[in-house]
Amino acid sequence: MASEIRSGRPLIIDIKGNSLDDGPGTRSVVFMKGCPLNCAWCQNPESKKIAPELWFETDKCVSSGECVPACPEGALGPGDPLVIDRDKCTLCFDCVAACPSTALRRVGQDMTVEQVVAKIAPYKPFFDTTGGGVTLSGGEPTLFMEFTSQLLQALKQEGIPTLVETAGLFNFDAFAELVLPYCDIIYMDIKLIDPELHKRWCGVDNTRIKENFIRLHQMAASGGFSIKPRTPLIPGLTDTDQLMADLAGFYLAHGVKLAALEKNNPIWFDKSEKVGVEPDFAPDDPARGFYDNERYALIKKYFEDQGITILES
Amino acid sequence: MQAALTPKPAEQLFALLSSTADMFNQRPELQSEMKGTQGWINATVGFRGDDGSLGAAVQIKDGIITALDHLPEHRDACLVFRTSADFSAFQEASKDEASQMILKGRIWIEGAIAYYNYAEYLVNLLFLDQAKSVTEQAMHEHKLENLRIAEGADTSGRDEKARRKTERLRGEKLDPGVEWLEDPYLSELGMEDFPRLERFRKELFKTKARVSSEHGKLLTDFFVANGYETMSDGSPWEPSLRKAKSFHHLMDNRQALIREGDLLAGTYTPYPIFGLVNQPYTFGWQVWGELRTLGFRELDPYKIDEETIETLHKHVMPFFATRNIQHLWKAEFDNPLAARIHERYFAVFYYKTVSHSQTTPGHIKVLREGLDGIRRRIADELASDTAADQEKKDTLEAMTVSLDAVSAYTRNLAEQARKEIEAEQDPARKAELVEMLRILSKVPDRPAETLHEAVQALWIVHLSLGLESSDDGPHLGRLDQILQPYFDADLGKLNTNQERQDYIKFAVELIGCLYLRLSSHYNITMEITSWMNSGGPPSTTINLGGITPEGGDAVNDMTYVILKVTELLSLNDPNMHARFMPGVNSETYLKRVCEVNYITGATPCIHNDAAVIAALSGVNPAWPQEDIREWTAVGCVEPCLSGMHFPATGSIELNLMAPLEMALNNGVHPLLDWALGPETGKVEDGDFETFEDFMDAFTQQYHFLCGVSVEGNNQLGHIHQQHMPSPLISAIVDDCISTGRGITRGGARYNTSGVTSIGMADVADSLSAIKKAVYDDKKVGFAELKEALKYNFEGYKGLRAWIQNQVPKFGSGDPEAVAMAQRVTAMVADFAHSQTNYRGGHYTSGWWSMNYHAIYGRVSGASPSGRLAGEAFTPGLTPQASASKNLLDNLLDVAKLDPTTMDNNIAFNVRIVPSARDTHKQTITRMSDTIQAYFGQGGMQVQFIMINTDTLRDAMAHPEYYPDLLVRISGYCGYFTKLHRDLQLEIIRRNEYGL
Repeated sequence: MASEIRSGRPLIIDIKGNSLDDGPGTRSVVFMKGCPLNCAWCQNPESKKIAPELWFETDKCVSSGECVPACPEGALGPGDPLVIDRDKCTLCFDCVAACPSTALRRVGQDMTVEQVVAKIAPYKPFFDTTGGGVTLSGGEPTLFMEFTSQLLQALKQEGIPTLVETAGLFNFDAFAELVLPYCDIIYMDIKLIDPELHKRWCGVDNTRIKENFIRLHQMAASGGFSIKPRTPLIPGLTDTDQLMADLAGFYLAHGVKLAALEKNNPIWFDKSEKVGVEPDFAPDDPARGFYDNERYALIKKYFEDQGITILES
Repeated sequence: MQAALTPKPAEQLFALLSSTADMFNQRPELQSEMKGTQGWINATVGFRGDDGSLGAAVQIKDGIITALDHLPEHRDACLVFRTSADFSAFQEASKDEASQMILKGRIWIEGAIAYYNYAEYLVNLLFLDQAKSVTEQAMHEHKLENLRIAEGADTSGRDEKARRKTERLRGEKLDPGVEWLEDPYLSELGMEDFPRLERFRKELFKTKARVSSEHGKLLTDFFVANGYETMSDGSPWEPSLRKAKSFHHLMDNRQALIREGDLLAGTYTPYPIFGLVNQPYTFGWQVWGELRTLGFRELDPYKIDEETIETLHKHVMPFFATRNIQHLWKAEFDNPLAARIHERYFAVFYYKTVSHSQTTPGHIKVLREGLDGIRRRIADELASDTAADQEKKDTLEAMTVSLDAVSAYTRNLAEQARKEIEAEQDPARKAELVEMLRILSKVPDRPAETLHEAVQALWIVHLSLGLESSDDGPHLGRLDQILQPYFDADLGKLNTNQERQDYIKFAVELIGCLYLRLSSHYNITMEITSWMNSGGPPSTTINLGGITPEGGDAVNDMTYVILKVTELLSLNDPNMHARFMPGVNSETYLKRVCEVNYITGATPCIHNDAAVIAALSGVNPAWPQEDIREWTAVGCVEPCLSGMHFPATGSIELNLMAPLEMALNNGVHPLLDWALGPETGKVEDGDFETFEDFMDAFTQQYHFLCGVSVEGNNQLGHIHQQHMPSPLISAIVDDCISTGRGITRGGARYNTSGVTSIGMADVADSLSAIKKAVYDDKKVGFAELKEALKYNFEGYKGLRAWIQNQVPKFGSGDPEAVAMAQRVTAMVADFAHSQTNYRGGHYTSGWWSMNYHAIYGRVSGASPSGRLAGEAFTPGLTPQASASKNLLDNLLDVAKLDPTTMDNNIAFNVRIVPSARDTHKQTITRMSDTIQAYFGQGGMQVQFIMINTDTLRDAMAHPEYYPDLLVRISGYCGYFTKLHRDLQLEIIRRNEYGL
C-alpha cells in the first residue's frame, strides 16, 4: 500500500482559491482525496479515504425535507437537523441532487487536469504580484503520482509556481522522475520522529519518510527546489520533551537549519462530524483545544538555541 | 361591546388636536412662541388618512390655535397617514419607529413641510419630557441588544489601533518627485512629536457639536432689509447679485475667529472646535420641528442654546419656510411627480435638495494669482467683451462682489489677530500670531509664496466656498500637486539639515491644523436624515498621487506629508483618496497608502488611474487627455476634472431594486401600493414568456423612473439657477469668467450630472435567480416565486435555500453572473449617457451608495436573490457576502465590468483581516501586491476596512473604548460607534476576508 502508485485520477475534495497558510504569497490549493497514512489528528478527515463520501453541514440545512424521499435506501430521517443513517447509505448521492441548500454534498469530484487548471488560471495575476502559486495537498498528492505530475506540468506551462505538500511516504524514484522536476517547493511532514509512535498514531512506519526527506534535503542543496520539514504539535502526542529532543537531533545530524512546527488547530473535530466519523479523542483531551502559546514559545526557543530556525507554517 | 366604547380614530385625532390646542391657549407664556421677528407665524396644518378615514386640522393664527374637525380647503401642510391604523401606530411610536414609518411610506407630509415642522416645534414645547423618556427607553433597549450582540467577542480590538502604529515602516526615497524626504514614510514621527495636534484631536473627540444660527441669521437679516423676491425698491433681484450681496453681508458680519493656539485663522462657525452650520435654503430649514429635541436624540445629539433656538425659530425658519429648495421646487413645478417620489424616500433621492457644491474649484489659480489676479481677469473680460449681454455683466459683477466678501472676512481676521497679539502674554504664541497677521495681510488677495501662506489662503477660500453654498464639500482636489511648489520653495531657502528637519515637522503640523479645521463642522440634520446618514460630515475630499496632466508621476514630497497627517489624525473628514497609475507610480507609494489604510483601518480609498481615465475618455472622446488627467474624486468617489468641471455627481441616487419590484408588479411599487410606472405585464397572467420579456419590463420601468428623475433633477437645477447661483465658485472654475455664466448656468468647461444606482449586486443576482429558477431550470413558476417574495419566503425555505446556494452570484467568478451584472450596468449607463441636463451636459453613471444601501434595503421587499424584506443591500457595487469565500473571485468579477459604464466611479468595499501570522511589513506587501493584480485586471477602485468582526461587535456594546473607530461606509468614512444600528449591522455582515 505504502509504495503503491495509482494511475487513475484522484477525486478532488476542493480547490481553495485564496489560501493564506499553504506557502508563500497568494495560493490556490488543490486538495486530493486519499492518504496512505491514518493520523489520529488528521486536519482534513474527509481526505483520508480515496472513495467519495457524503458530507452534511448542519448549519446549512433548512429542513426542507426534499432529500428524504430522494433516498432509495431510506437512510434519511426528517428532522431538524436531518438524521442520517450512514450504515444504510450506499453513497448514490441522490440526496445531494435533491438538497436545495447544499447542506448535503458529495466530497470528491472527478476532475481532469484541464478542469483543475481552468479553475485556477484566472488567479494567476495574483500569484504573479504576490509571489504565490498553486499548492497540491490532500490527502496525499504523491498517492496519485501520474496525475500530480501532469497537473504540475500543466501549471508550469501556464507559468504558475508550484508547491507539493506531502507526508513523504512515496517511492523515491518515481517521485524524482514524475514530481520533482515540476515542483518549486516541497513541504514534507515529519509527524513523529519515533518509528513506534509513528506507527501507533499515523498507522505506518516512518523509516521511508525519513529516508525520503534526507535524500530530498541533500538534493535541495544543489538548487532547483526547496524543502521544508513540518511537524504538527499535538498536545501530549507529538510534542513531548523527548520527541522534540529527538527531532532536533535528527535535524542537526542532517544539517537541517529551517523547520516548521504547526500548532494544533482543533477545527477538524467539526469536520469529522460532517463526514460522520467519531474522533478518537476524549472530550477533555487537550487535542480538542487550541495549542498553548507558552509551550510553543518554549519549544521554539529550544530549537532556535540549537541553530534551527522555526517557522510557524 | 369593547369596540363601541373605543373612540374611532377620526374622533381620537380631533380630540387630540383639540386638547393640544387647549393646552396651548391656556398658557399665555407660550403665545410668544407663535410670534416671530416678521410678525405672527401663522399656518394651517392638516391631518388626513389616505384611505379617507381621518380629516382634521389645526389653525395657528395670530397667537391662537384652533382645532378643526374637518380638512379646510387651504392647508399649508398636511400629515398623511396611509390608514387609520398608521395613525394609531404613529401615536405610540418612538422617534426611531416614526422614522421607519416615514421610510416605509406609512406616513408622509404634503405641502410646505416646514409648516408641519413648525407645528411639531410647538407640540414639543408641551411634550418634551415625554419625548425624552421615549428616547431614553429606546436607547436603553438598543444598549441591551448591543450587549447581546457583543457577548463573547474578543476585546483585543480596543488596543489594536495603538499596536498598528508602533510598527511603522521606513520608505525609500525613489519617487522622482520626492526631493526632500529621505524617509518619505516619515516613520520617525509620531503623535507625541505634535503636542498641538494631539491636543486639538482630543478636544475634537470630546466636544459635542454645537448648533450655530450665524449663517441663517445673517442671511435673513440681509433679506428682511433688502428684500428677497424683489429689492426694497420693488424691482426684481438678479439672482447672482442677490446671492453675492447677501454673501458679502454674511462674510463681513460673521465672527472672525482664530481658534486658540491654531496656526490657521478662520472658522466655519462661532464654535471653533466643532460647530454646525445652518444653511436654511438646503438642510437648515428641515430641523425646525426638532430644535428642542436635537440635544437628547439618540443619533447625532447636538448642543444648542436657548438664544440659538429663539433666533432660528423666530427669525430664520419662518423666513425660509417657503424659500427653501424643496418647497420652491414643488411650488414652481406644481408638486411634480419627481418631488412626490423624492418625498416618499423609497426610490430616488435628489442630492440637489441638500447640496450643490460637489466640485473641485481651481485652487491652484487662487494661490498663484491671488483674488486680486482673479478680479483683474474679470475686469479684463468685461473690458474686452464689448458684446457682453446683461447676464454676463451681472454674473461677473456678482463674482467680484463675492471675491470682495472673502477679502472683507480676511481683513476682519487680520483685525482679530492684531487684537490677540496685543493681549497675548506668551512670547512663542505671540510670534505665531505676528506671523499669522503678516500672512493675513497678504493672502488670499495676493499670490502665496510660502507653504503657510498657501495653506492659510486655501483654508479661507475653502470655508468661504462652503458658506456660499451648502457647506457640503466643495473639495480641495489634488492637494499634493497644489502645495508642492511652496514646500519646495521654503526648503530651498534653508541651509542646514536641522533646519530642514524642523521645517518638515512644521509642514506636518500645518497640514494637521488644516485637517482639524476641515473636521470642525458638520451639517445640521434632522433626525430622519441622521437615521439615513449618520453624522453629517461635509466630507471634503483630498486627492493624492496619480499622474500629471503630461502623464508623468505626480507623487511628490507633499504626497507623503499629507499621508503622514492622515495616519496621525485618523479622521473621517477630510475624505482621503489615493490615485495610483500602474506602471507610473511607484510601489513605494502604493505601500505607504496601504500602510496608512492599515493603521487608520479605513482610509484612504484607492483608485486605479488607468481605469478612471479609460472611463472618462471612453464616454467623452472629445475631452483632452491633459484635462482628464486632472480628475479628482469628489463627494464619495466621483470624478471631477479639477478647476473646470461642474459634475453634480450625486444628482440622482436611485434604488435599482425599485424598477425591479415595479416590473414584478406591473408598474406598482408594492411597499407604497403606488401605481407609478408603465403597465409592463403581469407575472400572474404569464405575460413574460421568456426571460427577455421580463428583462424588457425591468428596462422599461428603469427608463421610466430614471426619466422622471432626470426631469426632476433638471427642475431642481432651474431652482438653483434662480436661488443658489454660486458666483464665488464660478469665479474659480474655468470657463465661467469668459462665458459670463455661473456654474449653475453651464459656465464651466465641462457640464455633467451624475446618477448613482444602488443595489446593483442584489438586482443582478435577482435577475440571475429569475432566469435560472423560472426559465432555465424551471425550478419554480414565476407566479409562485412572486408569492414567495410576497410572503418574505415564509413557507418557501427550500426555494430560498436553492436560490441562495445554486444560483451563481456576481462576485463568484461565474461567467453568467458577471454577464448579468454587465448587462445591468450597461443598460443603466446607456440610458444615463443619453440624457441631457439643464446645463447642456449628459448624465454619468456611478455605483456607490453613501448609506442608501441600508435605507433602500429597508424600504424594499424580499428579492428574488433570496434577500429578505428590509435587509440592507450591499454597499456600492460590492458583491454579496455569500457570492464567494474567495476574495480573488470578488476582485476579478468587479474588474471585469466595463469602465465606460462606470464613469461616475464605483465604491467597492472589502473588509479584510490580515493573517495573524503576517508581520506588519508582510501585511502591507500583501495588500499592495493584491491591489496591483486587481488594478492590472482593470479594477477601478477599492476601499478596505481592516477591522475584524469581533472588534465591531465589541464596539457596538462598548462605544467608550472606540470613540474613533473609523469605517468606510460606501465612499465616505464614519465613526462606527456613531452610526445607526442598521448600518453597524450591515458592516458586520460584510464578508471578512483573510489577506
